[in-house]
Amino acid sequence: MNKSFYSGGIFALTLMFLLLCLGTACAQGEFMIYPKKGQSQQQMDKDKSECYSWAKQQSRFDPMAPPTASTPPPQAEAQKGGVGKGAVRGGLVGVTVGAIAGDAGKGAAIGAASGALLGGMRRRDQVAQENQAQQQWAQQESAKYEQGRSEYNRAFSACMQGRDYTVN
Amino acid sequence: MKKRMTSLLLTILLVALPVVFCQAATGSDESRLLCALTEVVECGALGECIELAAEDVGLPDFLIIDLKAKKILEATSVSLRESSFNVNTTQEGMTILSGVDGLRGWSAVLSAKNTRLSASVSDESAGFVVFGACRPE
Repeated sequence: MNKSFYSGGIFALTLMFLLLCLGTACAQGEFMIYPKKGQSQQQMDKDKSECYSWAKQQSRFDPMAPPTASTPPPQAEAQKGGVGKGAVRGGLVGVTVGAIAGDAGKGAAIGAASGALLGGMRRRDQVAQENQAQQQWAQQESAKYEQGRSEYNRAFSACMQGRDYTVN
Repeated sequence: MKKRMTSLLLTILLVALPVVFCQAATGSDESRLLCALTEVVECGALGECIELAAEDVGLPDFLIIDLKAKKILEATSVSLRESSFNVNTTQEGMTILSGVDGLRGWSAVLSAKNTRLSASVSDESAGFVVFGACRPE
């Protein structure tokens, strides 16, 4: 199989896995919450639910939602006068990363639009550059997710504290 | 006289028909070659070369060389990638193809009755040498 396809796919899958893990951890409550005024479990669940909604609105981040990429992944750089990875690989990667970005059709179209065959052959230096770009993209997406989650956490924490809970 | 003519026609038919049927039965179009790429070597400007698989450089494992249409295509049901070429010379059983694809130039030699392929593809900073085996599609 194509190494570059694999590496691109691995980056995308790693990112997806990472984001899913983060999302799950957050949704399942990474907070330690203590009812300062002896609120009942039922009341606490209600407050948590309301604070979840409020924090989601404030931070525009939903820890329960499946993670999506905020930017499209880097496409194979066009070989001067040709295409990067060729339509077959481009199409496959387009579908993979397009699906993560929530736009599989577009991803596939980007890949399939390529027409060059020999002009589209990939050099090692191009492969390395593309892999690096994929890595950077994955890191950026991960950082953005982390930032969104952090904002949500702050908002959720503030909300719960405002309702007389100790949040750690 | 009439009888002789009839027997002559029958003889011609008997000889010609198997030839026609044989050609139809084989169904091979000699102008379309299915080529398997067996080896790709990439060489940089500084002389370093590395052996790669076709897929590593974004080439399909199988190509179709259509000598009539003068095009190289991916051997897939729907090929979106192709490259046009010129048949420059045909001599001593060799077919020499050359083409330009993007900013790359390439040439290929089909030898041994179009069953062996060697090609070179080059751009401003690197070149590929590709070897393969072909047969009528």
